[in-house]
Amino acid sequence: MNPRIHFRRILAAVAAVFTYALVGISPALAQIAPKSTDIVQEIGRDGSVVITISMAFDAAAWKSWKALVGDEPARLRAMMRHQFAAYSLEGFQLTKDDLERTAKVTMRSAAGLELRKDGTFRTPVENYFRLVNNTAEAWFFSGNNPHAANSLNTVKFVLPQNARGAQLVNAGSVDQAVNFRLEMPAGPSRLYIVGGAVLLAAGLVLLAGSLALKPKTAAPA
Amino acid sequence: MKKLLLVCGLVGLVAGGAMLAAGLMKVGENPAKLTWSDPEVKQALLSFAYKVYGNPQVENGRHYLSKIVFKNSGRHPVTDFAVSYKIDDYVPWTDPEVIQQIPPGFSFAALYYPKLPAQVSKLRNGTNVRFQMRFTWKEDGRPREESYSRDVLLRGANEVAYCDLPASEVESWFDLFNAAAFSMAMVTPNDPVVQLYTSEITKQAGGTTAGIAGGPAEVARLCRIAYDYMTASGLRYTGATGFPTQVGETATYVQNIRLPRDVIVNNQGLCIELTLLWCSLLEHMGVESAMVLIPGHAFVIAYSSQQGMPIEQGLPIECTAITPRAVGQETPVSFEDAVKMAAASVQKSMADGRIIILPTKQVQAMGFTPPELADVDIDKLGETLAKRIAPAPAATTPAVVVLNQAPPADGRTVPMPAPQSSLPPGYTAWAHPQGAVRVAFPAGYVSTLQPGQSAPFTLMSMVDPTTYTGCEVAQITGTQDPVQAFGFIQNYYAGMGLAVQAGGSQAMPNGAILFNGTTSSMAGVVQWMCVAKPAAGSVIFVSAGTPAQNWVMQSATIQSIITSVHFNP
Repeated sequence: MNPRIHFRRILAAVAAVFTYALVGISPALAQIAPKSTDIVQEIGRDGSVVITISMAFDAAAWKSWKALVGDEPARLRAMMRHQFAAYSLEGFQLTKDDLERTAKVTMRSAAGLELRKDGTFRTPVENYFRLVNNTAEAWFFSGNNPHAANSLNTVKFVLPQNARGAQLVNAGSVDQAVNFRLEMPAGPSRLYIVGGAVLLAAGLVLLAGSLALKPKTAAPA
Repeated sequence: MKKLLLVCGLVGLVAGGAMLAAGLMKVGENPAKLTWSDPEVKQALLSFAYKVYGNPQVENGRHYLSKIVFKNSGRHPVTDFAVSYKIDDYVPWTDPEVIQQIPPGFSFAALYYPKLPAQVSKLRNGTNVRFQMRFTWKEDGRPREESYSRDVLLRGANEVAYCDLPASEVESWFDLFNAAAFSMAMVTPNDPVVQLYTSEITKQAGGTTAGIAGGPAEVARLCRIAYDYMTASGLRYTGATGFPTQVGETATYVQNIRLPRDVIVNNQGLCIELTLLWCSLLEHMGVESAMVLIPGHAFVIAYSSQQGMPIEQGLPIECTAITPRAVGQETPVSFEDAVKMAAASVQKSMADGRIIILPTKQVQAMGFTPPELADVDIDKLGETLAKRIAPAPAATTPAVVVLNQAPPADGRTVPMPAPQSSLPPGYTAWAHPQGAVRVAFPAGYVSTLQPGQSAPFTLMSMVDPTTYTGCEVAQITGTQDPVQAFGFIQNYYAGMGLAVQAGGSQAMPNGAILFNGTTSSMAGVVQWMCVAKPAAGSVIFVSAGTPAQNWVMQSATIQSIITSVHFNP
């Protein structure tokens, strides 16, 4: 039911959104592929995913990439929204550094996380990525992207702070994914109930104590 | 002491009771609350491509029928969420997709990819159907339900829309064909009718195709046999029958395209229909194929990437050359010439930049798969095919791959100089490649046609660089209604920030319509005159205009250009 964020596809579109005319004869895709790409996916506790793609290019690829994509950010955004309509992309930003020949694309999917029937969550990982390291909240992968001239890609997933039980499933397969659940904080009503019950019990004890205590009698004169 | 305990006990009871009540009543809490965006529902579906819409993997899942983004805006989980869908007459209520719990603050999208039945591909005409969606959920144990319904247009089984972009985002010729991949769902190599047709072809070739193990030479041989069979069996090219249309925010060009089986049965087809037929039979014979789209035209490339013939070195074939007049010839066009023509078109379009190549296998592997087809009486069709064929022409010379030849002399898409005899002094002339129209203009005018930038329907554009007086010829294919065609031009230019307005019109004795108007933009206003006339499945517009401030000085020139327009009957 839910869309899945496949960063490879989005990356390919960022790189080549205007070259769909060249389906089948697309050496142009390789010509504009970045030499390295770093992707960060920050998953919010609200189900949103903020994707940041940082790319570095060689001279020729930089020129081609700018001509095709980099100098047309409004068009790039419109095409991205259209091609990835299922992901509800928003908050699109593109920054470039002509001196370093680097570019950074940021976008947000308001509903990018897959909510499974059992209430747990899943974020897919392309099968050419291998797990490098992980902590409870951050998972690091790297691999050579066959869709971008085998350039080196790294990807980092940042899970929300209340993520629990995260684990990599189906490693190396097309169903490779990080699954986790979210721990929900208890609302104030639970505090009220517990506190109320404690006070009620204490009140009863005190009341019973007061009834059990014999009243003082005056000393005989 | 007793009194103190009594008071404390009572206070504890009261306070505890109050807190317990507050806790049970969830005082200070935001209960579960499901909110959602307006349902986004596609307004029209291509019924022949019904399988595409049922596949969430096609093109990043963007061909859904509906999308709603849900959010739990409360601080308690929404539970037992379920959503189901229905399309009246075609899809009964679907099994509810259930999510046990939606966490507080969480958003997610519910997308619907309808599994439409094969019967939708039998729709002859566009049909409105009712699409319904229903979702149920619980907020703090309280059951809730909501439903929506929308009308969706199921296009006729032969209607192909080439663009699904919002009109406001259409910028180039490529945008107008951003959904062209859908047409590849009409390539049907496994259709029994195509199989029968292919077997008739191979029969003419001596009963065998010998596979494609022979590489490029064998591919060329098979293509030549197929071409010669088509010519011998009387297959012919016919004009287009499309129309520009707008559904919601999407303006697109819709064309009626018959499946290859219908082309075989009727023994005639449009350029794109012939191309789809070629793709189908080539794929059936084990030869890879690709459809090539260039402005106003389509043809096929045959190749065999596993046999040393990648698509870049493939064999382009001008499918319409089976009808000589379609390519400006009076005598039968040989296979070699058909290849030369297509090769020239490839070369020209590569230079122009406006070319879309859709390899059948790759595009169908993306999910653009053909529909299930009804059974036909193959025996009867076999008899019909057998009656059509005269003895096949002998294939004496091998076909040659000619990708790098110069454009052909017939110049099908190149402006052709017209006979100079009747021109006013100082004027030169331009003639339509198929001879549909001829117009004269001052010889000092220069061409402003910009490959990849000019409107795709503009055939010629000349302007005086000093006064900016100029003339243009445009051809809108797929309709013979000048008003409809003009509307398409208006929509196209509106997307570029130009307001094209027509004024008064009058009918001319030769069936053409003369009208005038203005084109306004931030750069100013251009005043123009125009004649339009339907011609062979299209409408041709010849206009001449000048910036409004020059009108008085240039009106005589404009009149002379317009009066020089000659439409062939």
